[in-house]
Amino acid sequence: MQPDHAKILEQLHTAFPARPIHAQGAFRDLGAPNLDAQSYMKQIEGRTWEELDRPYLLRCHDALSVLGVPHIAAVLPVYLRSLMEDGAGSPAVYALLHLLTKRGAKQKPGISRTRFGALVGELTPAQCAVIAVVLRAFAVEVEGESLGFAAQAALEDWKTYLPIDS
Amino acid sequence: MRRLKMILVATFAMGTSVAFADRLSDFKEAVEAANAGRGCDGIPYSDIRSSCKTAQSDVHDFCDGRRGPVTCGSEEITRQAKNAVEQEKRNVAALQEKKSKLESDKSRAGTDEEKNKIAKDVDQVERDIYEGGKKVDQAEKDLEGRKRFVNEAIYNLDKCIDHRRAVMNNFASALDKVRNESETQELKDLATQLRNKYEASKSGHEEQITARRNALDTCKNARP
Repeated sequence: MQPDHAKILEQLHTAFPARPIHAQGAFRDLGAPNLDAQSYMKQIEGRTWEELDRPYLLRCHDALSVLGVPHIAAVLPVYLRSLMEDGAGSPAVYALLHLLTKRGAKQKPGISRTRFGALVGELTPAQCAVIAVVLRAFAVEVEGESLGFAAQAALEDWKTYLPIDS
Repeated sequence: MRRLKMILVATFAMGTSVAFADRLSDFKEAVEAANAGRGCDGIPYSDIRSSCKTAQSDVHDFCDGRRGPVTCGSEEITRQAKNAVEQEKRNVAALQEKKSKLESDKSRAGTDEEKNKIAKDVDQVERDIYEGGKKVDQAEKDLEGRKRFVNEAIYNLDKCIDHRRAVMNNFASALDKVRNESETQELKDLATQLRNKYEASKSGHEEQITARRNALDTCKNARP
């Protein structure tokens, strides 16, 4: 891990305080195709994001496409942390970049504008800022690669939250 | 004769009502499963549900990494492995050139002392060439390992996407059927709930497939 990544992780911990997650209703809106929702809910129930079983959550990254927005916000730091620590090797990298990209014109892939707006609405400015910082760091790490372009595309939707002094 | 007819009609009516009760119960269970996020159990038709579950199980096998890698990491890993082979080969080539030069110097050497000194240098270079050859072999093995890994991931991701599509198609078939359910108001209401769930989950299916397709594209770019 690079030194500035350690600093970013500190920011991540500050922006996403450790609070117990309540799993109820996590998949109520979108159902849970391709996922054992009961098991996922059991895993997250009552735990803070720092206490979660990371390998399990990263393996079950499909959840990011069907979790309700408040629950995405609750587990998001686990996936962001993996992006910093595991980089391009993170099992969740594609699902996370897709989640953090707003679908746009010219076939820009990503989640719907409505869902993206709801996600931003669920997060605090500090959390949005740390997402932008993580995306920027990752984009630099894989610059020139297809993952780098995907990270840049996501960053476009978050860069307004980047801290001014960064 | 008349009594027999009555018995037959009654039996048929009872059979129909039992079959309907079963269907209603299937729909109630499916709605409950769909609300609880139990995937294929949210399909009330046993044939489609069963096909969905088979595909679902394959999804887990191929998408969760049980059958092998499903991500290739950075494309840089491949570039580094290829560069390492080239670099080691260049090193060996340079050593071979050095050896030729030394041998040519040796043939032109005026004294035995000079010849012996150059011979020692040639021995050393030969040892370096041998070690360099081992490094080339190792770098080639590493590149071959990377190639195997990437190809395995491509195979798994292809399968993962196929099985995901199969699950998605099962939900699409179920969606077509629930749209036409109107036997009673109660059944129609349950079918509407399921239809809404299936439609809401469609984006989830598509996003999951997109994420895997992106992973597949990276792996194809990372092929040595």
